[in-house]
Amino acid sequence: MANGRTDLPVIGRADAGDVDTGVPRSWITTRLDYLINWSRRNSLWPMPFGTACCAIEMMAAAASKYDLARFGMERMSFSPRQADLMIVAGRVSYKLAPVMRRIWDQMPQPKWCVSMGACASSGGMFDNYTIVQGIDQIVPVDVYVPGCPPRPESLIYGLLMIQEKIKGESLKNDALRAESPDAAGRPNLPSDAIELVAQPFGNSTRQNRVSGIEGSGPLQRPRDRRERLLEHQD
Amino acid sequence: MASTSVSQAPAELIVGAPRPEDAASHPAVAALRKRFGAAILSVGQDAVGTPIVVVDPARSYDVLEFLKTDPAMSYDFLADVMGVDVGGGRPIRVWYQLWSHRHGRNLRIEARVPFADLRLRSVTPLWRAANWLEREVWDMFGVTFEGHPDLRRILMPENYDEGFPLRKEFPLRGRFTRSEQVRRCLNRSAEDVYAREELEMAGVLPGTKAPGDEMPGLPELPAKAMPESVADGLEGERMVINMGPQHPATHGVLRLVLRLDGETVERCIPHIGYLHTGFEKTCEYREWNQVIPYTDRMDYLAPMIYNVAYAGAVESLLGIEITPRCRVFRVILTELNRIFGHLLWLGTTAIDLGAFTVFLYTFEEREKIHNLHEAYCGARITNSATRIGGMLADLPVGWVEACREFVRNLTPTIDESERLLTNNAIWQARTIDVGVIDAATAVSLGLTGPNLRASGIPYDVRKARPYLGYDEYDFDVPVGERGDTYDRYLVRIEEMRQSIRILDQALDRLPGGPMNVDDPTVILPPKSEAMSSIDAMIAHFKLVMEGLQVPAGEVWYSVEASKGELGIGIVSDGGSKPVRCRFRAPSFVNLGSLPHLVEGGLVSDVIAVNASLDIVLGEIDR
Amino acid sequence: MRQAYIGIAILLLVGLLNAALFLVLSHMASVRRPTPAKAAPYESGISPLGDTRERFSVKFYIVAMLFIVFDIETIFFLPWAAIFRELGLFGLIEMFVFVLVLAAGLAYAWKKGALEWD
Repeated sequence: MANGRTDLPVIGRADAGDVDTGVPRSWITTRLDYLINWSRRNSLWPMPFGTACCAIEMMAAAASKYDLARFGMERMSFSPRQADLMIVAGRVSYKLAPVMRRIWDQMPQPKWCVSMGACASSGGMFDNYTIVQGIDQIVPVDVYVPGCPPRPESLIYGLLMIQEKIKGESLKNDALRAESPDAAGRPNLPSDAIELVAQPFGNSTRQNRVSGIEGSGPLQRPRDRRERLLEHQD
Repeated sequence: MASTSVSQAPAELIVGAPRPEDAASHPAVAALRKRFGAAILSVGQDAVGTPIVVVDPARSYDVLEFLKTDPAMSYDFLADVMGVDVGGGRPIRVWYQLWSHRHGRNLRIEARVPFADLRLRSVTPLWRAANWLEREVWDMFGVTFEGHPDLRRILMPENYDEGFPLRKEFPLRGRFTRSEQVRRCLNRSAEDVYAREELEMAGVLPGTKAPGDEMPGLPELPAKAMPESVADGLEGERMVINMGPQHPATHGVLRLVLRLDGETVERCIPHIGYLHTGFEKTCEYREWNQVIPYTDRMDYLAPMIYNVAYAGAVESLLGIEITPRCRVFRVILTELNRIFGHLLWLGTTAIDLGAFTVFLYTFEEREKIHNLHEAYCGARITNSATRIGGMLADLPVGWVEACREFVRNLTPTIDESERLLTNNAIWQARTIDVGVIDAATAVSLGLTGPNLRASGIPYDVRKARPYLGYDEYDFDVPVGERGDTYDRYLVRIEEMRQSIRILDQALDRLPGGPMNVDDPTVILPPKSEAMSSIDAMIAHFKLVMEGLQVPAGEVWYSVEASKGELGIGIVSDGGSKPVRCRFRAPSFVNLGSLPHLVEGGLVSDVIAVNASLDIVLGEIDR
Repeated sequence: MRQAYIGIAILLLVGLLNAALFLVLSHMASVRRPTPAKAAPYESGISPLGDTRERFSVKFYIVAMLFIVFDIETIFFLPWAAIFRELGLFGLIEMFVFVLVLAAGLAYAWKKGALEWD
């Protein structure tokens, strides 16, 4: 676990446990797994849920220079029904969160999610009243791609990680594609986990309106500045 | 290219730079004092010389009506309506920023409304641009505009109940806990998502639930009222659909609720705020230089224009003059980013209308600009290139040559894209006479930038109120004739060519010398000095620990961004953080004209018109 | 003559087998997690307002009908074009008559304004 702490909530499918489907593991099933995973990962149809600056880098990744087509991902599906991979690129506000959750719910299995950028992964530089502090509070995320915005190469690295993840899937293990019908429209994390991961850290703890060093007022400047004030200054 | 020409400005439209006048002798101020007497509370001037007239809030409408309708005043363009909460329970200030296309003068009217009586009369009958601008002031500050046709939330969700975010008493992280915010956002009903007008359009009775229609976790679909009589013959029924927020052709998270009669759009209601990031609130909690990374992320298609504009605004408050090298370099960056933004516009508009090749060509050119950005500051898009008083660094060796190389190779690409599109029958059929707007309506709706110029008004802030020495460059402002989508396309293509002209001139005249002002109280001294000289070290220490202190004052500073007129409204109390940091996004006001442009047209034209407005949701929603 | 048809029969068989194979393989490999949310209509992430079973304007039907008629006419051209040399003058006149009948229909539709959208 992170830095030896064991009290952090385990988020995601790692603790879901392997559910044995009863299919015996044999040469045929492993070859079939390999074939299915190979075809799935090399023909992923991403659904770009692009919101802000990261969407521009995602478009650049799909354009000629970085070319997602070589990975089989040039067919960007904007309809969730035909998509395998939701790439959330950009900041997600609380107004947009239910839209994102609904679109995730409407994607058929197998589906994966990439959180592209700092804002989608953790709220980024916006720790305020309107930005979701990490989309993993709303939808389950497979790969986080850090950056603000991540370079197209970073996004491609993240997509290759998704392909690695798909390599490890198996027909035998049903838990990987677990989706409960009443999870639709609900947050991905319980309330206490949301509070834990969304609490301010680092510089966010010092967001205050006091100017400069606590208690110092405006300094006298050594040189004159033109000051144009209103006649009536409250 | 037939309909694009640099037209002679008609006699009554004067777009030269106004002479800097003392506020008291400004003709509008004198006329207002004469006519309204006691309603004029005070007169002042902001940091760029705009006269400010503080009026009694009860008479604000009369004053503004006089300013619009009187021929000698003729303030036909409402650039901005913004609120300022200075804290301490003091009245909320509402600024009306006005410009007269006819006389080439600007003016600000300020009304201070006390918390006990937060009401103002709406000016939507005078300027249609006020529709969305006043909705935003209502949404952020809670000031009620009486007589507004549709006063509801615009950036926040419909029934947002945490409060009014930009008030000083509203905490930055909101009033509810994070888990409560997540819970609420996922439990929205139809009333939270649709406006009352839309529910009525769809014939839905509010507050009802359709039995047996419950899906766990999803908002229940409301029951439909009895359909209208079907005795209307062969006509089809109207359908109310959502276009967006997740849509390939809306250029971001824009949601349009369309009422369709077959293929014809009868009513279009845009919903924005899906990307509302709280920039203005967050910037109040950041030091002056820390705001600069935030400015990149609003218009992420041409980020350096925002960097330059913000730095210019704060420098005007400081009253300092940037170095000649910095001034020319900022022009180079601004024009480079204008091309950057227009190339993306061209690529995405073309791909929306089916021309995939142009998308690839323009993105290839954009990659070259990405490389220039990266060579200068390390980042491809979110550059944060300026600092107050200068730039983040001087130019790397070889950058100017690389830029020249890029400019040389850009013209063939623009030519190639034009060969593919301009005389293409399909392109013309989809853009000529689509989304036509005449000049008077465009001005009333507050359009700026190529959208306004395509309708025939030669207003460009670079010519009207030159900044960064734009009056020393030789360039033309392309103006269209019909105000349709095709003209907007031609104007932007020609603007790219004019930007190339400016870039050639600027690259030639880039002077040597220091990039940053030689004032250690404003900008960090060079690292080598900070390490070796005690004065520089002290200055470095003070600047980092206390932050840049900007003297008390206010300014509304505007530049010509790639999308239109970008206004930066800053209020400083003398400290290291802004009291108010307002970004008047050109796309915000431009998008307000979308219903006028698409209603009556076909659904496929919605996409063409939306693309031609060149909107970026990052700056619309802020 | 028989020889040619054997080729078509094999093509048909292989095509059917191929399609069946794909369907069977997909069925075996697929993950089935039906939820009510997935069955809900998609409208860019927002709950749709009202029913979509609206009555369409009749102009859509008219365009569709005209299209079908002339599309079938085009299909009839194809086998005729393949062997029209063998049919000779008789075939040519026969086809002209056919086209004339349909052109009369087109003229009627045109005059009645069925080709106008509004």
